Amino acid sequence: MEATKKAQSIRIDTANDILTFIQILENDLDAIASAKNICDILEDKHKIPIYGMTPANNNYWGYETHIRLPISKIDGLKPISTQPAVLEFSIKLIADSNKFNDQYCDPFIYLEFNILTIGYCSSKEMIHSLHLDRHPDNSHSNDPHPKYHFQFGGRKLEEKITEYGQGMFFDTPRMMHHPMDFILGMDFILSNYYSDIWNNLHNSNHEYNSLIGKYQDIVMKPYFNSMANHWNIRTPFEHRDWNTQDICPQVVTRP
Amino acid sequence: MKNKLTKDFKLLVPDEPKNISNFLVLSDESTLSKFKYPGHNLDESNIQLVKQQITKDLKQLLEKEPENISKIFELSNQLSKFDKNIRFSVDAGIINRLGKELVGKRETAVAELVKNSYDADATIVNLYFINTLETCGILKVDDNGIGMTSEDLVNGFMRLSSSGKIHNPVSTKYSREKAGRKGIGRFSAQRLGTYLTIVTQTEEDDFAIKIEINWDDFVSDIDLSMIGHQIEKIDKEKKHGTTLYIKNLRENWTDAIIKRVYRFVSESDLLQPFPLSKEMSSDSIDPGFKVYCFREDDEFEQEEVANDNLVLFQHSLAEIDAYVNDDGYACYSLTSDKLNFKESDIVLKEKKYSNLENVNLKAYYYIYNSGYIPKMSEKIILDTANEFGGIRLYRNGFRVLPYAGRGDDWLGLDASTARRSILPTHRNINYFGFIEIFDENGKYFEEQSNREGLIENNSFIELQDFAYKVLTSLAIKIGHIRGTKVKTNQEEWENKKPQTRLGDILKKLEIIEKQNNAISFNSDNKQTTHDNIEDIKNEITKIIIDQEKEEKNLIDELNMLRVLAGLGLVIGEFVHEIKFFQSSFHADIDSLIDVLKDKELELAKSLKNNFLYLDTYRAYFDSAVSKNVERDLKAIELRDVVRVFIKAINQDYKKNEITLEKPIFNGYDIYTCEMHESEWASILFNLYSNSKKAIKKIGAKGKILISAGIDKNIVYLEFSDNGNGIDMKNREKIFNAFFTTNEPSGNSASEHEEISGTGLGLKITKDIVASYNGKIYVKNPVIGYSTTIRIELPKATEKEISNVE
Amino acid sequence: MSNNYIFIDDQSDISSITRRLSEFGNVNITPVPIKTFNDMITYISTNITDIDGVILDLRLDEVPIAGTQSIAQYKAPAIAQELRTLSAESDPNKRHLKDLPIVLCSTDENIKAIYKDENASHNLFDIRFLKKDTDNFELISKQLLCLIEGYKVITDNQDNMSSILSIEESYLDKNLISKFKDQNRILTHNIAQIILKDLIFSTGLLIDKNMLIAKLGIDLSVSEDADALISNVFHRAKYQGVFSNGWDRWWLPKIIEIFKQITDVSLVQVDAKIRVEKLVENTPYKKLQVAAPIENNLSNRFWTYCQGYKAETGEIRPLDPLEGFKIVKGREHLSWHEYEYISFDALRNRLGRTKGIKLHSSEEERYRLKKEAIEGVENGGN
Repeated sequence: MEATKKAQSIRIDTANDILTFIQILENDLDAIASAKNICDILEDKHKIPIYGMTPANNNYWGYETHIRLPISKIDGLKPISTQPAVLEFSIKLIADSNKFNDQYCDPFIYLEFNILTIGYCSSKEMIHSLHLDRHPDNSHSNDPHPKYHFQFGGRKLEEKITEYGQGMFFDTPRMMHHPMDFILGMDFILSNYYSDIWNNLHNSNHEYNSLIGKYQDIVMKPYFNSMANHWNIRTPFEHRDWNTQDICPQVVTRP
Repeated sequence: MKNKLTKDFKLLVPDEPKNISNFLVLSDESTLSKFKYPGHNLDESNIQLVKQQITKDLKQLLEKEPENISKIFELSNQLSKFDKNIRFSVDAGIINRLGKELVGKRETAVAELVKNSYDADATIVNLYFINTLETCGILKVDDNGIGMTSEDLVNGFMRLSSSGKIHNPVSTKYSREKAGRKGIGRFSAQRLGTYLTIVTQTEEDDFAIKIEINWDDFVSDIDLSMIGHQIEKIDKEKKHGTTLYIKNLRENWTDAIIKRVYRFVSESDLLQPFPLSKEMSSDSIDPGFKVYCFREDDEFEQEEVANDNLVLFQHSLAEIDAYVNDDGYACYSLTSDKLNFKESDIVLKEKKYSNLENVNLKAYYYIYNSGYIPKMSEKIILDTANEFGGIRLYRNGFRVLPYAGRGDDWLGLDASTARRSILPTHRNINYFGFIEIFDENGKYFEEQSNREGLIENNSFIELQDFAYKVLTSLAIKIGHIRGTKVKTNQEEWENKKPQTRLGDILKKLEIIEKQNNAISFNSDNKQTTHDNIEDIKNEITKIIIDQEKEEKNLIDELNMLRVLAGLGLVIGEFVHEIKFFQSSFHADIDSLIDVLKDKELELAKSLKNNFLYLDTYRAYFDSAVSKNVERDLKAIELRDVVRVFIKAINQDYKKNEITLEKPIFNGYDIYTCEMHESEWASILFNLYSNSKKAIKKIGAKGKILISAGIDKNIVYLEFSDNGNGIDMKNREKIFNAFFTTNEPSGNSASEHEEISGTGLGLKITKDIVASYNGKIYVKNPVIGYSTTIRIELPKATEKEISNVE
Repeated sequence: MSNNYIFIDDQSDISSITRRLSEFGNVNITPVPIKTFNDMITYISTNITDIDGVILDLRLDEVPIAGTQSIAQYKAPAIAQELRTLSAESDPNKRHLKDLPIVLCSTDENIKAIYKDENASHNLFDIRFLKKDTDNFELISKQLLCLIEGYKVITDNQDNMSSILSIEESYLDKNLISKFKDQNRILTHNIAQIILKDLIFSTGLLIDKNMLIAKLGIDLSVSEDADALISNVFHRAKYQGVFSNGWDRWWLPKIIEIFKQITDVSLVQVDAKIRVEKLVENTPYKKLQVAAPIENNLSNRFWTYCQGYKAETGEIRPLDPLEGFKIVKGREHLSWHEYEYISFDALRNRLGRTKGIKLHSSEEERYRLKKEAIEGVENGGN
C-alpha cells in the first residue's frame, strides 16, 4: 500500500521540516542526529503506520524515534549528589492526513511521548519519568482522562525502579496538556532542560522560531481553539469537532 | 403446376393406395435432418382401418376440394406414416435453430442477402433501414437482379439446401462466381426479422410474384412441410429484380452498425470499388456491383448512410484517369476537390509505349494521417486499403490475379516509396484503382499457363512502367500542391535512380534469357531480343552520362557545403577570438569616459554602447557555436531558449526601437522533443530578422511578441510582429528557398542587404522544424499584431524530460 | 605603500586591462608576459619584495611564449599551487615566499564551469573576476587593494581572531572558532580563505545588503528610506574586519540584537508585517513597506530571498525558507551557513535555470508533490 497523495505531501513536508530542525540543533546537541530516522520513515511512502487493531489506512502517517541526549545539569535536583547523565526522549505518533493541519480537529490519533531522565548517585541509577499520552478514543475508564495528559511515572518508571527510598509513588493525577509532536516536544525539552541552547535559538534563530510557530499552529492551536470555544469566545470556526470535555473532563456543560 | 400435381394425386390415390413413398416424393423431396418414428402405436388390424379411413378421406377431398392442397398434403402426410418404409421428417422448429446456428452476427446476415443479390447479377442493391433506431423496424433489400420466377422461388428459395449453387457455380448474366454460402439467404432473413415478404420479377414475365413468410409459424412440433405459404401474382414494381421486406426486425440498427454492414459487405470482395469505365459496358460484361445503405425514419425523409462513395471515394484526395493515347504516350487527367485542383489531358512525353493499346487506368489517391480524411473514416479506409488497396488488373473484363492481391506489389510502388527517390507517399495503400486492358486476341498479353498472372513480356513491362509513371506523377503533383518536398533530385524527377534503371535492365535481360531458352525461337522473338538489347545499350549509355552529371552536381554541392561549413568554423573561431579584445576595448573606453568631457564624452559613451551591442551578439553566438559542438540532442524548454535569446538581442531591439513584449508562456515544462539547443538560436534569430524587416517597412514603432505553450501532444512557439504582414497568397511561399517579399536589391544595395534579402532564413527554419516532424506556418495574427508565425513540435516524452531535469 | 600586483597572461596585450585597473589609485598592476613554469616561479621569487599580489589569467597555454614557438605547459592553478606551497615552507633551508593574495581572472563567461572541474584549485585563489567585467573594475580594484591590506592584518594578528574579524568571540559559531583555533598551523592564506569563502561570500553569520533587506521584510523598490535605515540604524552591525573595505556585510547576530533593542520584539520571532511596523514605529524612517509574498506563497515570515528571481531578473523577493526549496550551493555548507532557496513560482517558471540554479536533489520529491497539488487546484478550478 502506498500513502495517499495528501499523506505523501504532508509526510515530505514534515520530513523536510524535521530535518531542518535537527540540522539547527545538531550544532549544539549533536546526539539529536539519530532522530533523522523520522525522515527515513516519512520519506518511504510505503511505511503506513498501523493503529491498534484497525486495518491499515493509507491516509495515516506517523513516525517514532528514540534519542539519548547528554545532560549535565538539572535545576533543583534531589538528592543533591545525583549526577545527571542522560535524557531519553521517545515519541511515537500517528495522524490522519485528513485531519492534520485542520483548525478544529485533533491533530493526532495516537501519541506516546516519554521523557526519561537518568542520573547516578553513589553508583546507583536514579530515574525520573514523565509521559504525555493521548487517551484512546472509545475507551472507558472511571478515572477522568483528559484527551492529552501529562503524568509523572508511568510504565517506564515501574519497570526500572526497585527501591523507593523515602519517595512515595502512586498514580498521579492526569494533567491536561496540549499535544506535542517531535518538534514541539524537543522545544519543550530544550526549554526545560537546556535553557542556554533554547534561549539562544529562541532569540536569534529565525528558522527555529519559524518551525516552532508552524507546528504550534498545526498541533497546539486546535487544542486551544476548542477550549476557547467552550467559553463562547469567538473563534474563526463554527464547528466543534473537538469536544472540550474530551480535552478537559472537568469542564461542566452549561446551556 | 398446381393443377398438374393435383391430377397426379388423383391418379395415385385410387390406384396405388400403398404407394405411400410416391405421395411423399410429390410432397416433399427434402433431405431430412431429423426423423420420427411413426406416431401410432396400434395393432395391425387397427392400422389397416385407420389407413383405409385416411385413404377414403383423401379420395373424397381430391374430388370435392381439389384446391385444398394443404388438407391433401396433411392427409397424405398422415398416410405416409403407415408406410412400412420409414423416412425422415422435419420439425418446423429447425428453421429457427438453423437461423441461429448458421447466421451469427446480424451484419453477416445482411451480407448474405447482399450476396444473393450479387449472385442474381444485380448491379445495385439498396438497403433501406426503415425506423430501425428502435427494434421492430423494417429492412428493405432492393436489387435489380434477374429476379425469380415462381419456379425459381419454389425450387430455389423455398427449398432448403437446394443445389442451385452446385448446378450453376457462375451467375447467368455476368458469369459471376457465386458468392453466397449455400442456402443461407433465407435463414439470414429469418435471423433479422420475424416476417419476410419477397417481391420478385423477371424481365420476361409481365407480373411480379409475392410471397409472405411469418417465421413465427415455424414452431416446434409441427412438421416443416405442413407450413404453407401463399404465392401471389401482383403488378410488377420494376423491370427485374427482387425486393425483400424484412419486418419486425429483432434488433435496432444505428448508423454505426449500418456502416459496419457496409464494411462487411465491401470486405467480402463483391464490390468492385468503382464501375469500370464506360467504353467497355457491353451487355455481357459485368458493370460492377454497388451497395447503398439508407436510413428512413418517420422524422427523416431518407438519408444515405453508407455507400462506397460515401465511405471510400468521397475521402480520396485525388482521382486520376489515364490511358495510352494513339501516339503511344501516357495521358492523364487529375482532379482533387480537396486541394481545389484540376488538370486535364496531360501527356507524358518522355516515354513512348509501343506495345500498349486499349489500356485505361483509374485510381483514387489517399494520404493518411494528414487530416485529409476524417478520423472516423480513416481507420476504415486504411483497413480497407490494407486489404484491397493497390491497382487491380482486369483483362478483357476479367480480374487477373495475383496483381493487387494482398501483399502484391506488381507496380513496385511499395518498393519505390521505401527507396524514397520520390518523397510523396505512393504505396499501394495510397491507391484504390484498376487498369483495364482489352486484348481480345492476345496480341500483347499472354496469360501464364498456371493462370497466375501474365507473362512478363515487353508489353507487360511497359504496362508496369505506364502505371508507375502515372501513379507517381499523381503523387508528385499532389505533393507539389501540398508543398512537401517532392523528390530527392528535383530537376530530373522523371529519371529513376540508377539502381531502378539497372533493375529494369536486369529484367529485360532475364526476358532475353527466357526467350533464348524457349524452344520455339522464332523470328518474332529474335526481333524482340534485338530490340531489347538495343534498348539496354541505350539505357546503359544514358545512365553513364547521367551518373557523370550527377556526380558533378554532387561534387558541386559538396564543395558548397564545405565552403559553408568552413566559413561557419571560421566565424565560430572569430566570435571566440574577438572576446579577447573585447575587455581591452571596454577598459580603454572606460578610461576615455573618465578623462573626456562634453562632446567627446558623448562620443565615448556612444562608442561604449555600440560595443555592448557587439558583446551581447558575440556572447550569444559564442555560446551557440560552443553548444553546436555538443552532438547530443536533448529536450529543450522553450522558456530557457526564449529568455536567453531575448537577452542576447536586448541591445539590438532597443537600437531598432522595437518593443519586445514580455513573453507569454502557457503551461509549464514546455519541452520540445530532443533537439540541438543551437538550432533554437537559428530559429529565433531568423524569425526575429524576418520581423525586423517587416517592421522596417511600416516605418512605425515596432513590437514583437513571443509566446509558447503546450497543446495536447505538441509544444508551440508563436512569433508575432506588427510589421507589414504577409499576403494570403504568400503564406505558403515565404518558407520556400529564395522567396522574398523584399524588393529586388538594386545596384546600390549593400552586400548584407543582398544576403538578408535572399529569404533563406525562413527556409532554414522550416528545414529544422520539419526535420523533427514539426510544422511551421503563418497563422492568423494574434490581436494587435499583423503577422504570427507558428511553430509546432512534438512534445518531449517523460523520459526525455527526466534526462534533462 | 605601492600595492603592486603582477598580472600574468599569455595574451600579449593586456595593458589596457592593467592600466584601467590601476587607474583608480588603489593598486598598481604590472603585466608580466608568459614564461616557462620555472622561469615564472624564479621571476616571482626574485622580485617578491616588489610584489604584493598576483593575478593570473586562467588559460596561460593558448599563445606562444614570446620569442618562441611553444606555448606554456601549465595553467593558472599550477602557479598558484606552487606559490602556496612555497609560502607554507617551514624548513629554513628551503626557499620560502611570503603569503600573498592570488587572484584568478578569466576571459570566459563560464569561468565557473571550468573552475569547478579543477576541484583542487578551489582553495588556491582568493577571489576571481571576469576580464570583461570592466564596468566593475573600480570595485574590483578596491577589492584587490583590500586583499593586500587584509593579508597584512592577518599576518600581524595571526592568533587574534576577534581583532581580525573585529567582533567579540561570543557572536561567533563554535565551529567557526574551531576552524581558526584547532589547527596546528594555520597560514595567512588559509585564514584569508576562511574569511572570504566561509564568511563574506556565504550567507550566515555575515549577510549582504540584499539578505538584510529580505530579513527585515522590506520591499526595496517602494521603500525610499531603506538605505538610510540600514546605514543609520544598523551601522553598528556592519562588518569591520579584514577585507571589509571590499565587501559590504553585516553581522546577523548584531542585526537581531539591534532590532530587539530598538523595537523590543525579536526579529526572528515575528513576521515581516510586524517587523516593518515596528521599524516604522521606532525609527525616524517611515517610508518603509513590507514586501508581498511571491505568487503561490502565503507566508511573510521571510528570512531569505528567492535566488531564481535574483538570477533571472535581479529582483530581491523575500521568501520564507519553509515555503521555499533548497538549491544546490556552490560552496560547502557549514554550520553557520544558511541554505539558498528558490520559490515555487520561480522554480516552475524556470527562473534562473539558464543561470545555473538547480534544485537540491533532496527537494525534488517535495517540489513534485507541491506541483501536483497546485496544478490539481488550478485544473480543478475551471
